[in-house]
Amino acid sequence: MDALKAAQYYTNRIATDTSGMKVLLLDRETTPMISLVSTQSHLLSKEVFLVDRLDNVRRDTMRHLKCVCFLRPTDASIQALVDELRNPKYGDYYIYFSNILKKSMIELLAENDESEAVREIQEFYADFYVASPALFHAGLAPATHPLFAEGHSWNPGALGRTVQALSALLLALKRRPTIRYERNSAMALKLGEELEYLMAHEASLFGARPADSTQLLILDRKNDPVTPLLTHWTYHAMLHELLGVANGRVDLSHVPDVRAETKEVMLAQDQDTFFRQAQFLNFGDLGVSLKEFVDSYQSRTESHHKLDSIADMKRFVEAYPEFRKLSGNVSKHVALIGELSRIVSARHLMAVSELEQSLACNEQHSTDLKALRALVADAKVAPENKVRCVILYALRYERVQANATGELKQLLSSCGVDADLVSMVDVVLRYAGARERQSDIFQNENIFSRGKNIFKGLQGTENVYTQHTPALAEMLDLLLRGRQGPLLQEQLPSLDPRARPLVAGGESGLANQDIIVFVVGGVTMDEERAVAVLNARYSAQNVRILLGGTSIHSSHSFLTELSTTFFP
Amino acid sequence: MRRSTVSLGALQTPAAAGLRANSMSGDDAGPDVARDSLRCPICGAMAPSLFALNVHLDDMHFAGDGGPRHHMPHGAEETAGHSGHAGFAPAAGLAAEGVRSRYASQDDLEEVKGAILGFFRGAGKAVRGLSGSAPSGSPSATSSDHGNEDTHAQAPHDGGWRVGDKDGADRDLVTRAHWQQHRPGARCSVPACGLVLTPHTDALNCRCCGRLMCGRHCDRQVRLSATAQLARRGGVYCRACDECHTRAAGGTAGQTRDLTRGFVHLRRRAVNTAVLEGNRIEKRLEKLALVHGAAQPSAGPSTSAAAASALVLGAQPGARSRALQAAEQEVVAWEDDALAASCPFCGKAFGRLASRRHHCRLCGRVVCGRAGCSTLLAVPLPAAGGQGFSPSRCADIRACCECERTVIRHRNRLARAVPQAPDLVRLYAQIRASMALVEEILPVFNALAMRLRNLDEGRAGAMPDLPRAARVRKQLTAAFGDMDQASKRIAMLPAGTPSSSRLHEAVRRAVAQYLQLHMFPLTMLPRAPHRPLGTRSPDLVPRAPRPQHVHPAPGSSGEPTESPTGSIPSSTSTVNAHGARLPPIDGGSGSAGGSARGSIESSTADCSGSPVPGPATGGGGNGEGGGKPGMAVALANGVGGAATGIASSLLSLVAAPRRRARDEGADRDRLIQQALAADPEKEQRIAAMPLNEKMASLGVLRDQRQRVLGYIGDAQRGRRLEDAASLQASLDDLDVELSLIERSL
Repeated sequence: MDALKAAQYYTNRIATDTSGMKVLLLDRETTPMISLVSTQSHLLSKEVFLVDRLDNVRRDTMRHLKCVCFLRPTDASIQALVDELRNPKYGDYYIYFSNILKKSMIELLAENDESEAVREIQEFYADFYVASPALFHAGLAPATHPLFAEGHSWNPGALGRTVQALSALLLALKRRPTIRYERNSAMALKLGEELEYLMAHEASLFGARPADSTQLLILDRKNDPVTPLLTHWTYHAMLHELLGVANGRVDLSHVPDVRAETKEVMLAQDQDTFFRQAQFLNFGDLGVSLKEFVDSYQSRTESHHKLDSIADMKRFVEAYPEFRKLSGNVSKHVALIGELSRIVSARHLMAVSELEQSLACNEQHSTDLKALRALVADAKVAPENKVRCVILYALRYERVQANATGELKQLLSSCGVDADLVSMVDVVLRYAGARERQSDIFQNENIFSRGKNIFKGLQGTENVYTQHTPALAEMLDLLLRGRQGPLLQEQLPSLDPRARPLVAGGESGLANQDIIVFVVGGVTMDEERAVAVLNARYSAQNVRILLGGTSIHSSHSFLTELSTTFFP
Repeated sequence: MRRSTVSLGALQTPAAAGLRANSMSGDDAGPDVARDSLRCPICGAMAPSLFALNVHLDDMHFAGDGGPRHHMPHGAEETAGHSGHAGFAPAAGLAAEGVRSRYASQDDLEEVKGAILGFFRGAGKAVRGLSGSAPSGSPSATSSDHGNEDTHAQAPHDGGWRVGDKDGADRDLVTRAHWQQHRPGARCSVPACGLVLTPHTDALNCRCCGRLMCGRHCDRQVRLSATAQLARRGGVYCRACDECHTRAAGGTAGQTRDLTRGFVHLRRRAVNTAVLEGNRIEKRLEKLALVHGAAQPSAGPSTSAAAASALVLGAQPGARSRALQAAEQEVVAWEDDALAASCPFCGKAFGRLASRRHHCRLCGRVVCGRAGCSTLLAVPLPAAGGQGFSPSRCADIRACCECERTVIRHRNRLARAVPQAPDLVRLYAQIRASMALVEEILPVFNALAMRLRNLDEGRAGAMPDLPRAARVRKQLTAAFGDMDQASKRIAMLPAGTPSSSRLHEAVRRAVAQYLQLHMFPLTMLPRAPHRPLGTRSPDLVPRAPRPQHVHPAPGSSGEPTESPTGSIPSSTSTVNAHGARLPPIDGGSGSAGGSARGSIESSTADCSGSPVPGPATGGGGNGEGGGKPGMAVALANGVGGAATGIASSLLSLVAAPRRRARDEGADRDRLIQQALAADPEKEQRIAAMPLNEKMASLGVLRDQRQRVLGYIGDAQRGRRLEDAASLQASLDDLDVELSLIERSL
């Protein structure tokens, strides 16, 4: 249940299955997939000396190289490969497709391989993007794969791509799960059905029946629109929200006075120890952690200067590769965190976040409304942040008598916020208003949950900025503790009515369970953190959770995706 | 009628004569030209179509030596390799792996293996004894038994598991209820294999997943509990398939599907036709070349084409060209002009003057002469001696665009076999060979070094392994040196295209990365205790000057690799990078370089083995251990910390030549005398060098000398006297070389 290892298994095989000098050809989509899970030096050590794009027509002929291709079975890639095989530029071809190949595609390739350059064709199911060991996504972007056709229904292209990504993940992990979906979501059901059909159709790959204790829970973003709208304070989530992480890279070129070597930085958990340790730290702890990190770097640089004892030198030389990486890391993380703190103070995010958390977690209509009015009128707060707060208000107090959403929208307009942005309030309400949601995320719909909410409020929280827990995490926690079994059973029906119940009942909760959670409509980095916490908490029960989604959202990308479809 | 005159000579059988008579009447019939054109011009047999007739001509009447040469290149039968674990070793797989890493040398491994096996057998007996006394019954009963055994056996033996035999000593311990039944005609369940299971292939059940497989795919071992679940602790070692083995190891071996077989099957159809067509056309070309060769006056009479005599007889040019056409039609029958109204490719109608009819000499069809429809292929004619074809004499043969494409594709297919960039391939093969050697002996060295270090800490007395370690280290050094050299040469190869320069650079980086990763252990050999001079361990000395390559370097057999200068202009930079260690270069003096290398090796052995230096370094004994890495650090810093920099400076450190300290006061002439005594022809060789070469090497040598002087200064300041001494030795060499060249100028 480690998406990273699963993908690395394939990339290793791609690099090592053939020996000799190799060139690796990738297509538009496999390039980021490979670069997320492998490194240049790793490939070099496996005799992959050149990496190029298949659709690059200006490659030179090098017959003494073997060619390893890793491609998605798309029409464009197949056509490019046909062109390549008609006029082969390299010696032997070893072709790996990232997903199930259509028969017609094999035939087309066979007909055009007259020079018999192809030595091997295999399917290696690494057809998903790995963000971290416990997080993968299908890489749907509004530009290439718009998610919605109209309203809450799949765009066919996006559905196909999602099925491919999920099925590839299951094959990479060798699972044939029991599929469960959120009852109120037509999209989740559709995805589940497509997947079930594929698994039945390709029984030779998946196995004939759900053999293991893996559950695939397909959730819908519309049941929790709050999490992607909040400002999060953990390192990885902040990078996503404030700087944007595209396939493991952060672009810092627009940042004022950035040094040349940190214009674009890579984030890789398996190489970067600091990042691995700090990715879930909140912003305060992050500063402390970075200080320690820099101190340790400085102490090492000092030893670099006074290399008088033999042992010193030896250690230095032996630690040399490590050392270089480390010094690169120091400047990288210093640049990243410096930029984050600049943005935080420039956009007054602390104040914004305090209100957001209050809106998300506590039922205090009049106080919230007052604070919100003040925030909207505040010229120092960015328009996007104002709109996010108003959306949160509109979602929470949608059914409240004294709802002042209309007034707030007018206030926004009068403060000079763009009309398109203001209309996002309605867009989100159409997408995930109270009648679209099935669970009571604000815990304000009936007297019992209100009571619970008050009780929760009394408990108090240690940090006002991190009160909110994603709905997904709360649901999983209930599931794993064995609470509210019947209710969840009702909300998360299985496609197969004979499947054994989700919760065995009793107080023990779930054990020995692998759970893959897939969110239609995108996941957030905060949910990744929550899942990591759960994984740690329930590891003794032998429960492992893997999180996935159609894409990874920041508040901006979330709203962009909705704006195209749910415009009123 | 010209056709019949030519063919008459070939007529032999009465049946053919009958046919002939038959077609005579056809000739008279006038309009029936189509049928006439489909008659074989040689034997007169009828063919249903032009294509069939031409095939018949190819198959029946080819005078050439070839015979059918349809070679079908084999597709990739060999699919994904089966990794690791040869055979079904009785030793537990995991345990054996652990052992291998700790006891690296082969004989050690054997010893340990034996001991472990003996131990496990004992343990196995203990378990079996227990299970024998237990009442055997349902799986559940045995499972509880097994649990008991586990606890029983664990107490004395620390892990009560034993080796499962091939034919099922695990029978009583692990359930077999889940096994797939073996029926005749069953296939191996590994999708990529799918072999029908016979006694020949073995039919085995994976004890873990229960599926049936052939022997090759069921040769791993995993620990199983009584219910055939993977057990993390305890359990019985059982036969298992690859998949269960990876699962047990905690790895995630993803699903894969191999489509190669189906693909090759589909491709064979496409390729078959293409290859057949290509070969056929190729053979026709060959025949046409023979015909044209016979027609040209310079051709010798030795050509064996049937029409040769007839052609030579026809003296005047008009008749010659007619005869040539006739001969061509014996190779390929021509479509009749009257039947072709328009070109089959461009569709234009033929005219008397504007769009003339041409015949494709390879398929016989009528085509027009436009560039897209037909071209003139230049075909090399037979060589004068009758052997092969000479590219200088060519005949132009008209071919339609289809035949031309077939020819080109066929030629491409043949050309694929010829590798480009042989230099790169050869050098890379050297690197790989060195890597393989390192991979083989580095574990040995590590084990030895570790043992020596432990010994060192314990008692600083006898170190029996030291000479051996020194030898291994020497081998390693040589291998690393070879790799570095080869990669440098690759980086210096002329790059025709941007990608090839990228490729060369990548290879260089990969090797630097490899060196960086693998060379550190070399510095870890402890110092030997001081021993008086002359009592060196006996097997170190005779072996030290052993010449050059202690390992076989495939691909370099015919190559004078002794000379590090080689023939490539990159030698200067190579020398610069290793200023301290390489002997001076002189044009192509292989023997000098070779002897110097030999002494490097001997000195390396000294340096690691017993650091008993001459009087000059006697006092520096304590400092030298640290001096070596210190120098590496200094050099690494000097080159800005680049990866290649550190690798090469380490190399220069490890291979730094240390010779017996020479008498410091010895003057240059005496050194020259010595050098000349060692290599008498040297002076002549230098004298024989062209002037510009002399000047060039003079420049390089002077540059080097400056460098070495600098290094010596550094070393003396840092009290690394041993390094200084070795540097001094190479300085002396440089001086000799310089003065020899200067004298000859």
